[in-house]
Amino acid sequence: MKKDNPLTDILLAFFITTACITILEGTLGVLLFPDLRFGYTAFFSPPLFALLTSSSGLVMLSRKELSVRQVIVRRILQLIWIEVIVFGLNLIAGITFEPFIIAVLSLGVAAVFVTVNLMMWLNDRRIASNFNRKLRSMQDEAQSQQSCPPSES
Amino acid sequence: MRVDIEKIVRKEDERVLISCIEMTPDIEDIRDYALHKGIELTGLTVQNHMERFLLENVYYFEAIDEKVFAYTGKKVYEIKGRLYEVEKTYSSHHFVRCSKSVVLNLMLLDNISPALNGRFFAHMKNGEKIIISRQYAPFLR
Repeated sequence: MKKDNPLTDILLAFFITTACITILEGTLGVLLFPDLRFGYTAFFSPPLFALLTSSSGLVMLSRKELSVRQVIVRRILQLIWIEVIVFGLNLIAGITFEPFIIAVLSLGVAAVFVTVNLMMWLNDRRIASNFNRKLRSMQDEAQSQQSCPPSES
Repeated sequence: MRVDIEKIVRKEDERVLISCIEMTPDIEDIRDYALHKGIELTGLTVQNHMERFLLENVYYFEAIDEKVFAYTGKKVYEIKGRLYEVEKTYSSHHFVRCSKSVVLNLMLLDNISPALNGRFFAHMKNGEKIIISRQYAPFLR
């Protein structure tokens, strides 16, 4: 049986995450560090973080069908892992923050996480809505074929 | 009443044609019989009784521990065969694979809704909820 490529979902998450991180970095930068200036290499920061955080989606892979509760637990673990990645990379790069900035950044990362998942869910809702419309017309068509009135000829 | 039987090639072209002057109760009975005469399956009930049931009444087939079960809403039957055989045999009767272990009847599916983790819930017409795994469900696209 033909299977859909899960790579599409990972790529979708990657691009949405890149966009969200760019907005987050821009907003926090303007508000908290308005005088800081960066070189062109700064452009690689959002896709790099997006790549690392999207790969954390592997935590959702399972041989068994996960229950809703299991999915929620894994999502929380995924968010914690992403926070560790973000702060860990900054720490490795020698960047430290004040507690207030840490709190703001943590919330920002969580907001990006929620936004990405919300957008993915909205996309799924669109797919479900399209499918339901096609399902209804397929069922109506099949029903009408079954209950064809007798021909008058 | 005269009965004509014409042999044809394609299974999907099979049909019953009733030629009548007017619809009488007898003709209606014949029509209803033809309409509801579907594919019959045989399965083992929970009480170990062999019973026959109609394919069109099956909401879904599920594979559990190398066994395949058919759920009709009222009863559960264990049937012979593998899930991939069920999928292949009844695909022309609107049965589709929706996860690793389930083949469901699209005709008895009410709607789907998004779940978490890129999966969907299939809400069957009897109120049951089944998980649709996206990687097993290209029919969603």
